[in-house]
Amino acid sequence: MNPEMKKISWKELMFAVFCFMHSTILRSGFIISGTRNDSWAMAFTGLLFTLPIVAIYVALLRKFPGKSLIEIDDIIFGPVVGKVVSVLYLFFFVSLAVLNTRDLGNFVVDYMMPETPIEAIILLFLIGCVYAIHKGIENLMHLSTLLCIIAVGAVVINSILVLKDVQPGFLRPFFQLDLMKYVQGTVSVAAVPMGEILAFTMITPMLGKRKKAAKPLWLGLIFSAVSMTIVMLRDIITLGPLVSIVSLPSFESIRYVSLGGILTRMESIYAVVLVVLFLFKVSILLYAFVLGLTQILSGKGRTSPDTDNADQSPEAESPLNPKNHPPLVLISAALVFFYSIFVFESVMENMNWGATTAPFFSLTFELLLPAVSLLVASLRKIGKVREVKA
Amino acid sequence: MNLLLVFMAFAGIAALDLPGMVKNKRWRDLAVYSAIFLLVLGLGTLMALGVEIPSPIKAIQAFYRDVLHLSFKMS
Repeated sequence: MNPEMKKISWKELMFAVFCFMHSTILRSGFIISGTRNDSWAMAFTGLLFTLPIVAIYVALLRKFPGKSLIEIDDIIFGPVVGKVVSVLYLFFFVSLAVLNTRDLGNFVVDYMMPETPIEAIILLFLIGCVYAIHKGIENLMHLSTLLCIIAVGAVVINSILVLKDVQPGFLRPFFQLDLMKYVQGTVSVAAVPMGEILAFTMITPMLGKRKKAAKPLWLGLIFSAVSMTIVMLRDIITLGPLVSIVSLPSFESIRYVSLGGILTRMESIYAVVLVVLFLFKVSILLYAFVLGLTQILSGKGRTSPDTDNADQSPEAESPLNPKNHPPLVLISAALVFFYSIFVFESVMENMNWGATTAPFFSLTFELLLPAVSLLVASLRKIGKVREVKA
Repeated sequence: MNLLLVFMAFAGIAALDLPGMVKNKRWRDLAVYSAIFLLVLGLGTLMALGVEIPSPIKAIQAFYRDVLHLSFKMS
């Protein structure tokens, strides 16, 4: 990792948030199976549900500028309770990395390479993630702009090419389902793709103390909601009643693309984009886990570019520089590898988890813990106000 | 065969990670690293031997569904 390149811009963070969520948006089957032709509306209701959640993250980051979530825990709860809370967050990050890795493995085996053992796919994928982190997370963040253009470009081109096969009538009847279905859809959208941007609270210190994290998080979230609406609308009006049966509606709708029998099999583009976005997301989650673990074990906080003791020389401390901390990237990737092999025995178990329990599990870490942290910080009157007085 | 692959993979990881810590005499980091290394190696060895390891996710699912009663119905 290059210790000189530690800063990222707010635009890169915004694109990174978009790419991070887009990998889940392209797998919208778990939402569409419940709310069917009304699923597009869940992007908006989910966004409304997520806004206060992200407001909590923003409030925490404002109170503790330049600090990561793990460092904030230590300040708010003290060294002992803070570590316990941080370990819970780390478990969440590693579980998300594992679940997404498993999803990637299932996708490749089911749709691209049915004869290949899932272990081989997951191993190669994790080697890619380790390489990305080894090259520096800031470089991955720089790359997010390009990834965002490719992802949006693929959605736009596929949507245009599939236009001749769409039937807007498939959107009707509007909002005829049981209210509980909409609640489930809203909570699922809020907890699964949107609330997961909690992982970026480990990366926002790279913006520096003077730059605010609110803008990129809000904008990334809003752009993702718009993109989610477009993708779901396209899938619904292309597939009709089939949309709630297939497990990957986007993949199936793009299969309809055929221009004069020459331009076909466009789903392969979707597959490549999805794999790259998966790689991006798991790299971020793995980085968040490794950085958090490093901070807990070494007892040292990460040095952000604008902190008081920041050294701007090439020898400046890098968050995961193996010269300063135990090298935990490879061993953490090995943990994710083994955990993802035994996490589910079948795809049905995976789908059952996603539809029934995953939203509540995620909200525990995305809403409950940050809300408690903010409440304790406010009651104890710690944070930026006291820093200014000091 | 699986066990051999696991040991080879972990030997490779150790070969990449250990020299820096040993060379710079960072014994505390080495101790921390070794503990995590052995834990993950233990997990890998058990899997290679075909031991069924219970998934934490399934335990969490049972806890949320049966204890906290927080679970949606499958569509």
